[in-house]
Amino acid sequence: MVVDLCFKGAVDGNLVRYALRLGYRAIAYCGASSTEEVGGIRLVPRYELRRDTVSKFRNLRGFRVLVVESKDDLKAYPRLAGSIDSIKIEFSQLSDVSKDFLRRVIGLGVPVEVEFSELINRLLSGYPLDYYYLVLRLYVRKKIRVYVCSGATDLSNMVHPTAMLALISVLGVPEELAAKAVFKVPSELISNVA
Amino acid sequence: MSLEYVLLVSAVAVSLVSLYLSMSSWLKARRAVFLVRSTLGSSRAKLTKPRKRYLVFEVIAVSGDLSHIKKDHVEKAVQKTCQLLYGVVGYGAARPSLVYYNESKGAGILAFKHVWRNHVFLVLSLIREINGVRVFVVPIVTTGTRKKALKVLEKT
Repeated sequence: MVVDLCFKGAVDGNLVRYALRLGYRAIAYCGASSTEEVGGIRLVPRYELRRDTVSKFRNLRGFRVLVVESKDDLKAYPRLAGSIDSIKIEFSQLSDVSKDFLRRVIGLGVPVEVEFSELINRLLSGYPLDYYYLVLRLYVRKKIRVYVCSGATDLSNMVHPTAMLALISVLGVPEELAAKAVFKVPSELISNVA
Repeated sequence: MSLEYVLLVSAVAVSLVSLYLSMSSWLKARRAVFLVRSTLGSSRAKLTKPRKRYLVFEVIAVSGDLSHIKKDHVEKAVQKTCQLLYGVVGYGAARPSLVYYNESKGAGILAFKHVWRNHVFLVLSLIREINGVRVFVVPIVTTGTRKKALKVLEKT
């Protein structure tokens, strides 16, 4: 099952039609309040949580992503077990990524989100991709799990799943691992949630 | 007695020196063989003949009419995006060329070198507009021959 775990815009009939043509069968997006099936696509609520709000939303039914904005967000990470489904690291807001921080990411054991749109924008505008390489290298060494999502804000930003696979393959991830990050990990996550 | 002793010591010394020489020459030979093997291995990898692949793709219009898109427009869009991503050298190495484009179906065949497969997929996904029409370019299948690609295209 092809899943997009990060759609940031509004989902309507038009989007569902094109998402089906692109091959998607499930989408997690921020506007949904409950899991529903529209035109053959399963829509799952996605919650972007900050560290201080995680405990409040412990019993939410949906896909819970912890947005890591500082290295202190992962302090006492064992407490986060069961409260989140994945983490999204905002590298632009992190001053530096220390070994200790990476050790916490590995210890947490939840997959790390990589957004296609952000990665491609950085690639095209010449920003360094050092931290992304760091995450992908950890993934290749099987220290962490990674999944790739579109990060689209509207219909025109949506991408075909093979493009996501191609992007991380071009960045040096072996093809079988890239396929796992695009197809297997997201479908496992969505089946756990919905 | 002393002569015997001297002979014995010298014999031991000679045997030790010969052992050292034979060991060092064996190690040098092993290193040379390893170097030659690794050089041959890497040169073989470098000399992989880039084979042609044919990608059948479909153009899905999000807004606008698909009939406004002609073969030249698709070709130019591919060239422009490929050069933006990989530069002139990358474009020359990947050599994506539009072999066939069916304007009524909005589907076509793109030929490229096999080592650039993922790069070409990425290029196609980044084409968002062709001749003023907002589009998605969706790869369908990659084949090794043009004939097979045409067959697939007929079925789509």
